[in-house]
Amino acid sequence: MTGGKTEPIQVTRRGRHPEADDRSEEQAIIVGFDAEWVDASHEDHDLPPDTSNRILSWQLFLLNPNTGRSCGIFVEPKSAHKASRKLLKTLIGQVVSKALKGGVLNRIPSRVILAAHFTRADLSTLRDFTNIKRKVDAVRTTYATTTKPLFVRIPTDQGEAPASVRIVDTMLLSPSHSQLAALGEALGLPKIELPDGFSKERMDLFLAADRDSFITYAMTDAKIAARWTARVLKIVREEMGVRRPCPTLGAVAVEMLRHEIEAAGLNVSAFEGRRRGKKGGKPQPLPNLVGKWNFAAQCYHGGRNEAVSVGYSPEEREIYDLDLTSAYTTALAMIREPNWSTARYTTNIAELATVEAAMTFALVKFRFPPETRIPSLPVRASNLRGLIYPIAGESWCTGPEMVVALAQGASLEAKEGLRIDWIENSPRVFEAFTRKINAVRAAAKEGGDTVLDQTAKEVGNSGYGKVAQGVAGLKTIADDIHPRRIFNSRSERMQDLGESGITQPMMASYTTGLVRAAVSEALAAMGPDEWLGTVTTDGFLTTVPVERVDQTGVVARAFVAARARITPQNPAIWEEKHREQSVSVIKTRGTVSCTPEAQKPILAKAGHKLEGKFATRAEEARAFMDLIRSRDYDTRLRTKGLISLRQQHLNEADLTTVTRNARANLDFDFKRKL
Amino acid sequence: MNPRDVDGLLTANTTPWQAIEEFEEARDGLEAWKKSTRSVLKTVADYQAMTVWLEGADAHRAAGTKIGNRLGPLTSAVLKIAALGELGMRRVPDAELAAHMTKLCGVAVSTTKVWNARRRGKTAFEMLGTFTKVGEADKAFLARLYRTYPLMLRHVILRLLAPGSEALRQLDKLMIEEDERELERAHREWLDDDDGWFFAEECFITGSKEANSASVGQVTNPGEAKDLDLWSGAASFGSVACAIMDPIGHPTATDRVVSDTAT
Repeated sequence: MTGGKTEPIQVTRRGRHPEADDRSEEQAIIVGFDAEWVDASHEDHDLPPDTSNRILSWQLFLLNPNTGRSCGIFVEPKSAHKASRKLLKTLIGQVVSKALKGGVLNRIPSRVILAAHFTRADLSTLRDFTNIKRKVDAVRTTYATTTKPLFVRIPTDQGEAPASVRIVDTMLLSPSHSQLAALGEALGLPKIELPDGFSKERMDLFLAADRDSFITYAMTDAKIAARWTARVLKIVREEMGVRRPCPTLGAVAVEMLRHEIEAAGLNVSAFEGRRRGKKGGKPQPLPNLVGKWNFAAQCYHGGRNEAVSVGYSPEEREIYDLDLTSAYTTALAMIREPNWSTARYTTNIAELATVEAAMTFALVKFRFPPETRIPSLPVRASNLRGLIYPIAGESWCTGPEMVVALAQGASLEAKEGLRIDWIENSPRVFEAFTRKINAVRAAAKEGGDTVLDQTAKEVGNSGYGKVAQGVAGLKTIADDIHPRRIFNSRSERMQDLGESGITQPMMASYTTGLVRAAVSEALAAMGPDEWLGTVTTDGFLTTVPVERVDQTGVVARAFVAARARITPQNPAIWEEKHREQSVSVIKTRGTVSCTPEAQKPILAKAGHKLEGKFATRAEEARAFMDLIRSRDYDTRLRTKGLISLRQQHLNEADLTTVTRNARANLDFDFKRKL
Repeated sequence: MNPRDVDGLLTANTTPWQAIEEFEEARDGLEAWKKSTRSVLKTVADYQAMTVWLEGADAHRAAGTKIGNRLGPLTSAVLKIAALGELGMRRVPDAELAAHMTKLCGVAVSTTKVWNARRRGKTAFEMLGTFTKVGEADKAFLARLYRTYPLMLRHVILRLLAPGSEALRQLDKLMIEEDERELERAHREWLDDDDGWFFAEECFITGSKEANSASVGQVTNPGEAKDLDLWSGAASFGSVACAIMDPIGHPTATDRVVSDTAT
């Protein structure tokens, strides 16, 4: 916890702007931050329910990544009253003072990265939360500084100096839903388990009973946050080539992609079909793409999701859960540099129905042969009911989907169409990005670091997410996909999620179309005797084993070629995720394993959360099956959750728990006809 | 699709929808059924109950009545038409109409209900050709109507049913079944002891020009107007109209529609 004794320190008083150091080789100081409290909404009888949590302690762990030295502090409030809470700068000042004394730092740092696991919880324990909350950004239910950092004057016992404080949340720098304990395991710094008889809800009892163990427990959390942040930033810098400190994995992906585009000798704006105006500002679409931009966005849909059967899988047949390997990153990797000057409207199906020759989009009138089991052209339903695949209709679709439909014998008539050719033999910049991600993943897997593997995977998937961010808002004809609304913590208003630095509607629509086409092509090739349970974005549940999935189709061959370029040693495009003896399909994204003693049972709960905790996944699957059998119209699922960020922010509330009663909606959704 | 229960849960294969509209209708139907009957779709029995309910719901929508109504939708439609004296039916006092409808429906129809029927729901013109299915609640009413006032079946009910719909087929079936029952009790004077059933048919339908001119105004093609003339001729048979109808070789509802169209 301490950095050891050193000679007296020369504290440098700094007068210039703290961000001036941003380009220096010296890395920012990382401070892990954590707080412990007693939840105001606990259900024990000893304390009256209240809206304010009772803060027990703050712990900060300072890590100097330039030297590897570190130190920590454990701070307790003088009383349970809100006025006794500490200011952020006071706490940072205290840990910096200790670091200066201990030789961990030789001067007051000008750049600090404040890392916590779920910053929303920890920042709200501070006295100046009211001031801080409008100076940080709300990102995915938590806080981080994605735009401007916080500027604070750090008070130490050796003087005061200004510093920029970037807030990062380790939840945003790790795979989604990662627990702090998992990060600790990956770091070889296991989170301390609470002794028997104590619970998270009543940490005050633990503090009173065993103060030393409490301090060890609390300090470990702050250490994990600091060390995980340092580790991710190091990997991002050294292996992914991103020098800027990124607050989220999505930001890492954007930086990586920009870097790859530039490394290929291309201009980022030109690659995306944009150019900067004479007066500068945000790059805008090229003049010849006006209108076409929105046309492509109209063909942007999510993945194919539907329940093809309902109820139990056939007896005595094995069920395979198959996935398209790295579906979105592979699809992205097929993109070359577009020749934007060739963007043109056409209704010629021969020009539009293509997989790799160009990016094509169309509004087609279609009809599949009546006996078609799995049609492949999407039609968007109303009321957030997703994509439906009917026998006939009109579809905003992409070239690869048209290719699959024609192969199924469908008759197509293009009412409108758009084609953009590639520049011949131009580089596939996303392929280099995917290859780099795969290299990090391979090294992580080799070292047995599953969390890092998942983190790298998330960066890869975020690449696609960032290309598609805000595309729904570009649609001229509003449909079922609405632009995502987010809470802007700085303006304290709701707003549409805007475009990212690399949003490109044509590439986003083409990528999603490729994945849907690959899945539909494999489904269409299935024999009539094969059972098909559900289709979920980039995979499906079936009686067909992975080695018998058809890969002779045009889209499958394009995927095989892409996989061969990315991972020559393993060009397989389908992989088996689970194998089951029996499953029950409830609805889209609702499947439960009914295999007794399944090691890794399938459990997709259709967006529901079960009450209580389960020792194993198999136990949870059984409980979910019991719910399905016993439910009636009034069945509700009582779940405990956290107060929403918006609610907490606007009410300046502590992070408290709230109980929700959601109706169990587990009826077949009729995406296909019974 | 072989829907069946396996271990107490609905199990079935599926086929694609023909068009997106089919899906929207089915999904809206599911939601409406769940909400209205406070049910969930768990077993084959639930699925069948939903299907039956939806058939009734379609008809209620056509009649503009509520699903919880004790009268079937077609029955409600007839009550409304009779209460307003439309489609050539002569308007009778509410109390008299309520009494007749009570006997025909097997459900107490009060004068308030007659009064409400007059002011609620869709107009007779809006209901023409809109009923696609005949629900269980209407079948008993239609059977009694067929036995007692077959002309009404032809001149009112048939015009309410959608051409080529399942409802016409259901009506055919119902008439055939009734004819077979009639054969079985061929020599029984089953209506004799029920004085209330022998009220004159002309109390419901009239051949007067005034009444017909009102209804002709709602007819959209000359064939229908001619049909009304024929019907007014039939009405002149008065109370013997049903007695002279020969159940054997009785034309089906579809035949009637075809012949009417040809005329």
